Amino acid sequence: MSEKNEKRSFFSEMLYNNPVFGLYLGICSTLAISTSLNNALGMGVSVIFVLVLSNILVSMIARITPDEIHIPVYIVIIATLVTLVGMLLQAYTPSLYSTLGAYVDLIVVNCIILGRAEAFACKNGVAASAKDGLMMGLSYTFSLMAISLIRQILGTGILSLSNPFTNTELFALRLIPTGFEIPIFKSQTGAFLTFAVLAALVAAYKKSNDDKAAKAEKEAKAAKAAAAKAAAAKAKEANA
Amino acid sequence: MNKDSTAYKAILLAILCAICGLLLSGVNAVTAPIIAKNRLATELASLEQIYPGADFEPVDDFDDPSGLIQGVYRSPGNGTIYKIHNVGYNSNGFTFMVAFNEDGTVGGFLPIEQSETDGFGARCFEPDYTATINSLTSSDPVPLLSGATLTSTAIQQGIDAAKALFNADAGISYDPNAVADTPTPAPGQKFSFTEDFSDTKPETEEVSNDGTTAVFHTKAGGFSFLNGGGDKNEAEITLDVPSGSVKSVKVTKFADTPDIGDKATTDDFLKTFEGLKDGDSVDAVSGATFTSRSIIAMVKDALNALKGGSGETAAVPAGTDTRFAETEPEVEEVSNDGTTAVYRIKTGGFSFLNGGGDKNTGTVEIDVPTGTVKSITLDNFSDTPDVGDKATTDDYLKKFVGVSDADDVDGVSGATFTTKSVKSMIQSALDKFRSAGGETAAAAPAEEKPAETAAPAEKPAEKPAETASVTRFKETEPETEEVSNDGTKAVFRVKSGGFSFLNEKGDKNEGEVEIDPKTGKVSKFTVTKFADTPNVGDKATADDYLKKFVGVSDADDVDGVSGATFTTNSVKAMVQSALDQFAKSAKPVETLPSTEVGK
Repeated sequence: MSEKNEKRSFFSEMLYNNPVFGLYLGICSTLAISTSLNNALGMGVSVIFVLVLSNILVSMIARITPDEIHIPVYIVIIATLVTLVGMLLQAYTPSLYSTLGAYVDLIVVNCIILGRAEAFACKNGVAASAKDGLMMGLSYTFSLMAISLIRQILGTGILSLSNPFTNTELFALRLIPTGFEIPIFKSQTGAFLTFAVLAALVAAYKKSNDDKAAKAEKEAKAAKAAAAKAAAAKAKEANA
Repeated sequence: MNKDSTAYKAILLAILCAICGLLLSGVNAVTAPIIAKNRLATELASLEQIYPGADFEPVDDFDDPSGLIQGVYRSPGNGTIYKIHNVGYNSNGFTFMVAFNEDGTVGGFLPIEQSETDGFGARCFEPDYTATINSLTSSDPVPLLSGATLTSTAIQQGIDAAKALFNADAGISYDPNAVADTPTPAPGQKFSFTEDFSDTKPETEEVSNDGTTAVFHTKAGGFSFLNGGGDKNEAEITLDVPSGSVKSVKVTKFADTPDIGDKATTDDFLKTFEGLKDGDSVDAVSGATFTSRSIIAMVKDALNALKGGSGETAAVPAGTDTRFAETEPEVEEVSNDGTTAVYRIKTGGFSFLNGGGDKNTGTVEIDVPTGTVKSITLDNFSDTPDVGDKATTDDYLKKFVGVSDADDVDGVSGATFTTKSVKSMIQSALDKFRSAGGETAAAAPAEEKPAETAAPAEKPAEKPAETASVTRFKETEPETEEVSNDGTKAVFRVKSGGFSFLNEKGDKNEGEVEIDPKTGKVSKFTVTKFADTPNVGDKATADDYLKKFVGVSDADDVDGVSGATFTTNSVKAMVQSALDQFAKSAKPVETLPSTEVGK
């Protein structure tokens, strides 16, 4: 991440470099599985696992990997990690695995993972790469959760969460009375609508922040110039 | 080693793959048993429906070339269960389990998930068919279900895949190509030959009749015709002439929906007609009602044609002079110079009688001195080319020269309707010729004098045929009685024979006709007694139809009613006889002397 980005708050960082709403990466799986909070958390955790580990491993072997074969090397690493995740999900969270279905295996071709490996991990140290993976994974997970919250509440009227290991329901809140749900949000149409609205809000927030930052910078420059001018005038007076 | 060398790159990739492979195999060793146990747990609910309380072991290494088997579960002491997924009619497919007991019998058939069409493929998962499957063994072929061909074929394929695996494991030999008997179509609604199938618009043409066997080519509308104006189904019906029963039915053209209506064209269903006679009943095929009805209609029409007609235009009993009444002859005298009487005649043939098409038109010359046919020419042929026109060839028409009765000439085999139409022309001309000089008393009311205006046969008719006394409807034997005539309306009570009178010696129909003396046209017409067939002939006595006669000066100004020929003739005879009677007895209307006022 750039020096400028490090000065932003954690929340701003989530939005500015958000892979889903900012960089528009990993949209396919986002739209497909964001029907419930359980799915969002399950997929998010899986992606964080793969992102962090792949960034660490890529960073570790970047110096010894020739440029000509860096893509197949990264793919082998990512595919191995995704297969591991799949086996672990199938074994310990079978209901979540069956719900996520083919999208678990499709994490391999999620642009976020290979993109961060190429853009950051291979050029930075292990700790920084790990942090980058974690931040990107968290951004992706929060994006998934935002879309899933809206779609689940509007589409089913209920906000619920289950323990994926035991399949026991942790909580279920009916927020919209029965009969007033909007079923379209359960379908792909609702997914596109929710994503579009949230992406627009993020873009508006970023623009507003950029405008404020530009204005503040301009004011700071003007203040600095005025201070320099005042200092020069004072020095001249003292010499006189 | 140089990082850019090929050997370095190969070794690096090889080492990386080895490490990843080791890692994956290690995790697999830990997770595989857990995954297998999970899979079994999700299937357990279904498995226990087949073998309750039993233990199950998933079988992972099975060789299924068909790719239909999703899982195999062995239950020690019970049998083996196969989970199968295949695609029937619905592209989403369906999933079911089938179990084979250790002795080879089917231990259970359990649908897991299906979305086939209700009433069709979904019937494969209903008790009737599942009971059939449960009665099989691993050596038996799986029968299909009529009306659910696609779904039952998919089930058959799945069970065959399971049978292959089970029999191979158990060492059971069987014939994998054996085919189960074709199931008989499920019986549906029962239809009697006496019912009305007129909506199917049946058409029947006699192909041959040697006195022992009669063959008819028939058409009748099924689903396609009745619901979209498509083609009719066609069949060849063979009847046994002496017994009047069906020998065979062969469908020659199927125009309805494949895989639905064609259940009623199977040999099994068509065989059910063999031996049936008019008045019998037939079970239609469930799920193919329209096609069943069209075939039943064709058989009924053929049986009727064997008798000589259909509906109200049924066979005219022998011995009456109404042999050709159903052809509805229209006769017009063209000329009569004392040597030759020329008549232009229209009579209905196949086209008219079976589809409301045009009549055939011809010109018949009668030799006046001998009262026999001099010649007949066909001016317009409206029946089926290459079929009916066999009865219009010069060679055939020449046979009528010199005859005094149409039946002196044999008919033409395979052109029955057109033959009848031609003979009707001959007979109508002869009847018209004779009646012009003879039997006009039958057309006149009893109390009236014999028609003096009707000329005897030797003398030429002085009046044109259009105003000739009721010879057109002679066979209805109309009786007309003037009730009153006050100068504003002339009322006639009329009787004329319809179907009941002509075919069953029943009563005549009766009516009352009012004529406007000033115009000589009908001003009101009511039928006061209907003696013909209810729901058939009364179409010609409906108020809407009788109103059409108001304002006419000739009964033939109004078209007939299809399917109620005899009653139409009777109704028209009533009108015409009243008009004729009025014309004979019409007195000049007295005009009051004009008064000069104020002069």
